[in-house]
Amino acid sequence: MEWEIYETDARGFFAEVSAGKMKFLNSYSGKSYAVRVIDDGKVGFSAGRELERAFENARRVAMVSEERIESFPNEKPAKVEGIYDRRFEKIGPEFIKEEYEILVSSIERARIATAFISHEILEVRLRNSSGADLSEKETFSHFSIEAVYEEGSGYLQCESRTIDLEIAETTRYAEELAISSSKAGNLESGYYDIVLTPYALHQVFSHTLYPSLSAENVSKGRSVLRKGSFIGNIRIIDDPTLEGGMVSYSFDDEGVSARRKVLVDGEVLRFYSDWKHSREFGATANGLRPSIDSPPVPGPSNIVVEVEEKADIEGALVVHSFIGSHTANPISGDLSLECMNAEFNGKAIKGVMVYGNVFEMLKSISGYCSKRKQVENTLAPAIRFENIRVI
Amino acid sequence: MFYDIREVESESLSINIDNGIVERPRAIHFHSKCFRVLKNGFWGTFEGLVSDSEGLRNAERNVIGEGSAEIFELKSSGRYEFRAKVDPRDVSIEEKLELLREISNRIQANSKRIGYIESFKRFEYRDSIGNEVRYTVPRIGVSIVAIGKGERLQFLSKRLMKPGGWEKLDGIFELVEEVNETLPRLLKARSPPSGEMNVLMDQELAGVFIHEAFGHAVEADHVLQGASVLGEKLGKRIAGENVTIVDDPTIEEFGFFPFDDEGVMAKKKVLVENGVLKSYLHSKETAKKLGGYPGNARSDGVAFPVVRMSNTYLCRGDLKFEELLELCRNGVFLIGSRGGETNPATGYFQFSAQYGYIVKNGEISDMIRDVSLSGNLDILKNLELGKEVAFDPGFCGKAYQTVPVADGAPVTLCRAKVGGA
Repeated sequence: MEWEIYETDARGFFAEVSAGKMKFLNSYSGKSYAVRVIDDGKVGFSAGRELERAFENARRVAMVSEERIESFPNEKPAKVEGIYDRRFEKIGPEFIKEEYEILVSSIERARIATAFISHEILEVRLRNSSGADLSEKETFSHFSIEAVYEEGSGYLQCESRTIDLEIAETTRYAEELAISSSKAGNLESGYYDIVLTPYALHQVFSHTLYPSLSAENVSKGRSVLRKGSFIGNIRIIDDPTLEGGMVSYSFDDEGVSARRKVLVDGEVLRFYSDWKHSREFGATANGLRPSIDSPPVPGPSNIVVEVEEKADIEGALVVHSFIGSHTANPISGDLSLECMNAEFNGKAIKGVMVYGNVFEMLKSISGYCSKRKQVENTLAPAIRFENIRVI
Repeated sequence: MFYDIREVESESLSINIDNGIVERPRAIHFHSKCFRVLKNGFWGTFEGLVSDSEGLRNAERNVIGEGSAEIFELKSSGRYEFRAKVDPRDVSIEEKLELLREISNRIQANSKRIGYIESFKRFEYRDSIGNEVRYTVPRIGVSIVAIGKGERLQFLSKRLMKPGGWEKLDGIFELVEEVNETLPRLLKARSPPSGEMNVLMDQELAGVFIHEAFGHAVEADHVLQGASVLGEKLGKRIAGENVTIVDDPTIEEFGFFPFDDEGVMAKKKVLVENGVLKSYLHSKETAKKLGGYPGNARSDGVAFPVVRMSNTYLCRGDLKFEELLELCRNGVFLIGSRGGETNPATGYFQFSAQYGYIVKNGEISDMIRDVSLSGNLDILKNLELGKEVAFDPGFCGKAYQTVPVADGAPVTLCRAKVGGA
């Protein structure tokens, strides 16, 4: 029998600010185990707090499995910098209190409806019957805020691998969005150039483009993309080795050594893959676990988006964020999304929808309009698209 | 000082049949505890599998300031065991696979995934007032995703999820038939029209509409945050006279719970009665601040309980489907849901149907795909309602937590903005 133990030891703080006041501060710590076994060639998975029980359960479900892997990988991990900040070890409740004070002193006219601050240290150990015994220590910080002003609202978030979060800057920007959206006007339906800021771009891509670049989805007939499909004037790179990237790692959640891959350079060059699909698609180190109780599946790491031409935002509908981006069609790429914060010629706009198809939109890129910014796993500039239906 | 302790033990089995192959079967067992301490109006909390004394000490250490939190104190103790007619653990795994294979074999699609899940939640609650609650609830469900290939790829999904046992899967083959009947036609469906128009929503979509467009705005934490368009609207008319909306965790639908995660016994709440806003949804803290009854504080695992919906529904009206179609006259009839989202602060929402039809002169005509709706709460003022309420299960996300819910409604006619070509 082949086996794999994925072990996490997580500890951290999570605070919620509600109606301008800190509502609670939570701390947590605990170990969890995820076990996979290959019994008679068939894979079973289990997770829980107790290792022995997880083993037993994994063997039990392996009996009915038809999923086959021959063995688990054993590779030397890549060298990745900037994913652990030792200052986390000394963070206590007082540190969160200081961050809260920065937050409340950064807002003047609008009110804080909700805000969340979190800091986490995650230690991962991965062992398997092929001889791998890997470990990684990582740190994560996250801040999000919804500011409200009269009938307007502005939502923003930021992340970091260090303890330093851009709380003041993010808060001031959310306040600006809330104030401007309180005076939002309408926009006549028609065809407009639109600019998606890094946050809006991340919302759209993560529910349409990224699933289409998954080796599993391609293999199972759930992607419209094929190798060589023309995408548009854009480069898309999956890079888990990026220094300080939010989804950087030296080995993926199955123990495959991290590596940088160009997925799209005008046309599709390759797909990201987990260990199981690597026989067909090549190993890319993208076997990721959405949570401890999920077996690894192909998932994007840091996605770096590059566009060569420069464009401006003049005369374009600038979308800062959408509502309901998860309702976009992950297979066809069709989308019809309500703008949450948007502006046109410097004036806030409300009640407009953007309708289109992500693959058609990508063919109408006119250029990038800002520096790159990392939003969760997307590192992208604002991008201008031509002639998009706005309702 | 007030404190409470929650302990949750959950066990689940899930199996996927993906393009005919049993994949990623998993058995999960988790056990967690959360300790909350309310002192000087501030909550300190700690999550970890430790003794009560250590957990409370750790939670108290997180009280780092003074706040304004107070709680509605009430006596609420009890035990509850949801007895499934057929405990899924008594059904062999082979029998489960047999059912899933039959579903998979019957689905006619280029690519298909059938998912099965059974879960058992054991919940224990105790607090410094002396309340003690214990319950166990099983949940079961099957989901179907079918992908067809024509000129383009198109997908359709259906799910059946309920509290209870194996017996709750009766009816799954009706969903299979619906998928087989709809998917081939969906491949030829055209782009939806766009603009403001008459929209007839089926029960599933109208349920999501009530959840998104209205439900989140009556969660009292949003009201206290100044982030709800329904703040200050209690006792006022916010909808047409034919509109009554209820949240009821005691119905055996997917959002069922016997006690909430603050140990409060579940209770039906009339939120809107004949168009007038009657109540918000409350936790112990929001009920103390705004007045009202708690019982809607829910957690994902042992996370901090947040004000949430349970089974939320728009009550029935008296119109037949044909009458609604005639009233719609020209517009769209939209079916099924792919979820939605709202911003309670502005009242704007967006949600998507799986497919629909053009309505022309009171008759159903061409099929349309990928249709989204948007609007704001004013839509509630002009609804026409059908005669039969049906519920649809789902998962609702808020404050980084996901909980099971169900949304219900009759077939509903409204005027909204449709996003199309």
